Amino acid sequence: MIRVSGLRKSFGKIRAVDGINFEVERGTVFALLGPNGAGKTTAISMLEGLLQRDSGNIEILGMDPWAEHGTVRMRIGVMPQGFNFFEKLTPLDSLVFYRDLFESSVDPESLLRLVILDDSRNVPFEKLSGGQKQKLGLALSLVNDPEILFLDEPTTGLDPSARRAIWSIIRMFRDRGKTIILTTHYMEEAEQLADNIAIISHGRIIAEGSPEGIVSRYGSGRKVVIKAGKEMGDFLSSERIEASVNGKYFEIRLDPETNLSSLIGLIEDSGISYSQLTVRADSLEDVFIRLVGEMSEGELK
Amino acid sequence: MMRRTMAYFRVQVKTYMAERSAIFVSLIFPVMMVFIFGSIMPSEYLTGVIPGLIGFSILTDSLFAVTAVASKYRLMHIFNQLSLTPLRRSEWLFSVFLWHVIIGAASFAIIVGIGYFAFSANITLHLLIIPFIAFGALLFVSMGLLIGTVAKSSESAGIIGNAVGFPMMVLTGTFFPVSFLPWYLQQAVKVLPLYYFVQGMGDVMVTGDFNEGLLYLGVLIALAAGFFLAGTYLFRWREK
Ligand SMILES: Nc1ncnc2c1ncn2[C@@H]1O[C@H](COP(=O)(O)OP(=O)(O)OP(=O)(O)O)[C@@H](O)[C@H]1O
Ligand SMILES: [Mg+2]
Repeated sequence: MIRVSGLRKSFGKIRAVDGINFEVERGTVFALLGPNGAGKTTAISMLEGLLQRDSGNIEILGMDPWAEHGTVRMRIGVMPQGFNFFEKLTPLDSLVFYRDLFESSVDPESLLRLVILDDSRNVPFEKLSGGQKQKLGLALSLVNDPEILFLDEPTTGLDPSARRAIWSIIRMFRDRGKTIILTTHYMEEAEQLADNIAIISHGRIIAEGSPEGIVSRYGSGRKVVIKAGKEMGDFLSSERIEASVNGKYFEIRLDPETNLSSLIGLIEDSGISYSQLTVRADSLEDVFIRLVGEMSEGELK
Repeated sequence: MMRRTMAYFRVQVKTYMAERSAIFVSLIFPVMMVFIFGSIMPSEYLTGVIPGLIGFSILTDSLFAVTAVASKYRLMHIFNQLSLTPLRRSEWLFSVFLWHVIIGAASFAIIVGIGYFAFSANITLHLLIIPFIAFGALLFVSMGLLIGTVAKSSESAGIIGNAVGFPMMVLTGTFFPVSFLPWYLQQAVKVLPLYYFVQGMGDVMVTGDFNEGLLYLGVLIALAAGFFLAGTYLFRWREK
């Protein structure tokens, strides 16, 4: 369905995409994660055929998206990051315009309802809120009933219920055997939606696999997380317990030798109050932050 | 093809209707100019500058609007967006051209109508006016496309557009005859494309010198073709 190999793109001295490879199967959701400036938008734009690559290969539905843009564009849907459209057109006007261009038989009203934009159907684009603009971008990307959907940060800035609505559209789309490539900064989103994930940093893929696979490969087991005041930190260091501080949270990694109950007993006996104490496994977010952090440290050296 | 051209045409109409300043510049402004000239100057003077006022309107409607659209839509990634639809660049361009021809014809009708009925301007209508308006619009749409495409930012597009447009708006016989200018400026204005529109329209509508009018129409067509080729050669929907 989608095959990418040795893909590269530089802007002057910046190597925005620096040799990435991946494949996406039909009927799956693939998520690109990575810090700001990692190269996600650059990579996805080349897949959409909007940006010419410097080198490497891209196959979308068996075609080259840059050279065969005219054919590929009919079969893909694109929602760009920070979607913009004609300022004076309303969502309804915009969908009618797209329907006329694609000679599609979709009903603009039902697409508006699908993305929960029907209340603002007659508000000019320039007056829509950021989240409403994105919903329109998603609705437009669906007009030609595409086989592949590219969504660059589809839920950034959306309220929680709108985000869940978009998730369910994505799942529905996938269940119809379609393919989705999305980027996101929300780990929960990736865990909820993606069959496969690639974490990009500085234009390179530093980890790839299913969300669970990545966590089990790069995660480091369980940890105790305590929400408490500064005294807890003093206490832990006086006990020579290694803890990393993250705002009000102290995180203690549990290696196989540590005895969980004696650790908790020690904290209880200290008499220092805390508001939360949880034991949990590494999450995708923990893994992401560690991998990206290691990558940046490597860069510094 | 016509279906997609018309779909974008409706987008232009909606955009225009929602933009009060655009309506003002393209329709109210020429009306005001005719009234001002008609009220303070003798009828012969108004007759003499009517081709100029028409040229002024076509220049401002096409050049400035297309310059702004070409740079803004590129920077806002709207051209990227359109490149993902079946709309072709040529269809988009034809639709833009069609719209500006219609606006140009409307300002022509308003200026001539008011000049004739309210101030008894002494003008001749002739079929040659049609190619003048069509190629005039094509010329300034193409110049706008070229400027909007080569300018790096919206600000610089605006500055280049003004720098190119203002001398033409004032010096080519729009408000006063070119013969009022010092001799060296009379020679210099011949590099300004609007000069050939205004002088040629004057030949057709006012003095009846059709030989010179056809010559100027030829120059206008050549200029329009040149700018059209340059503009469409450089204009892209997608980035390299
Ligand atoms: N058109 C461009 N010209 C110059 N540099 C660019 C251009 N587009 C992107 N870059 C640079 O390429 C790098 C990657 O940018 P890109 O937009 O792909 O990142 P991203 O992963 O999408 O980031 P974000 O999460 O913030 O959206 C950045 O350093 C950016 O400054
Ligand atoms: Mg991005």
